[in-house]
Amino acid sequence: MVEIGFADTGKAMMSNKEIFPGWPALEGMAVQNVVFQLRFTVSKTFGVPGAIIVHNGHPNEFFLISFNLELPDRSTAHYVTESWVYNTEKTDGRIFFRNKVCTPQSRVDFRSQESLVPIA
Amino acid sequence: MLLNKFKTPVAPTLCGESSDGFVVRKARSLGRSESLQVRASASAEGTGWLDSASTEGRGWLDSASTKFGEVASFVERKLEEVREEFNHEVVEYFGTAVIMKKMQMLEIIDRVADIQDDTSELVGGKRVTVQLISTNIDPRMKSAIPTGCIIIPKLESVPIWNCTNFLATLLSCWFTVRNSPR
Repeated sequence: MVEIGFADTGKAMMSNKEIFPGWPALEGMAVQNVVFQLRFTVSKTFGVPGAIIVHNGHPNEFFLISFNLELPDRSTAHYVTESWVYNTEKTDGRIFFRNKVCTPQSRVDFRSQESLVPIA
Repeated sequence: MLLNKFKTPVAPTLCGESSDGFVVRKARSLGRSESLQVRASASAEGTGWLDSASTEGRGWLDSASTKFGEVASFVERKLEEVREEFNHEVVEYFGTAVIMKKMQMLEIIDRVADIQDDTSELVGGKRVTVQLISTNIDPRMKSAIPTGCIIIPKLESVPIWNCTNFLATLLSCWFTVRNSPR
């Protein structure tokens, strides 16, 4: 998990890495969705993570259907995944970003104006 | 997770992923002090990235101390630093990941598609259907057909050498399916 650099320093902050528990024990002939619960402990200055980094050390790829993060205020941050994650030993991992619209301050007025336009 | 270079007077054997929870990337020469790249865990709980058998989660660290005294002490010190940092104000995020793992069935489907493509190429672009039937895949099948069933339209038009190549390809793919890691 990583927060992409919107901070003053411009550097991304990284959390601890969490491993999908019980991955090798997942055996079976049929395809099924597997749900993993992960817990990340970060400092309060971390902020809401803007992206996640997923590493796959397994020779086979897996399909990351979704990733959600429950925030301290009980809201949920969604990350756009729906992608195959291949072996990432020779890369830095796959980055999936949060599906939150970031509107620059200079365009906030335009967005407000757009939202006021009645639907025909 | 820490990823740093350490100095150690010990030239260890190259360690892979082990239950001790550390990985030595480089060991250039024996009997000399060399830089080693070591990966070790520094999570807030102090547990290893490979779960240690120790109840305190420090079993891998003790093992590392035996082999790499300097390395272990560095990792330990970093652990303390991380704990101090997290002692102030921490926040926890709970993530839920839904994953479709590519299991054996998908691998077989992939392999069957490869066999179909290869066979179709060998028989001059004709449509080829390959069926793999096994009691392991579908338990409702009572009769065990261990290899498979290949349906090729107008087989008489296929040259003999193409048939030989096709059988070799099929045999190769079948062994690959059997022996492929999951």
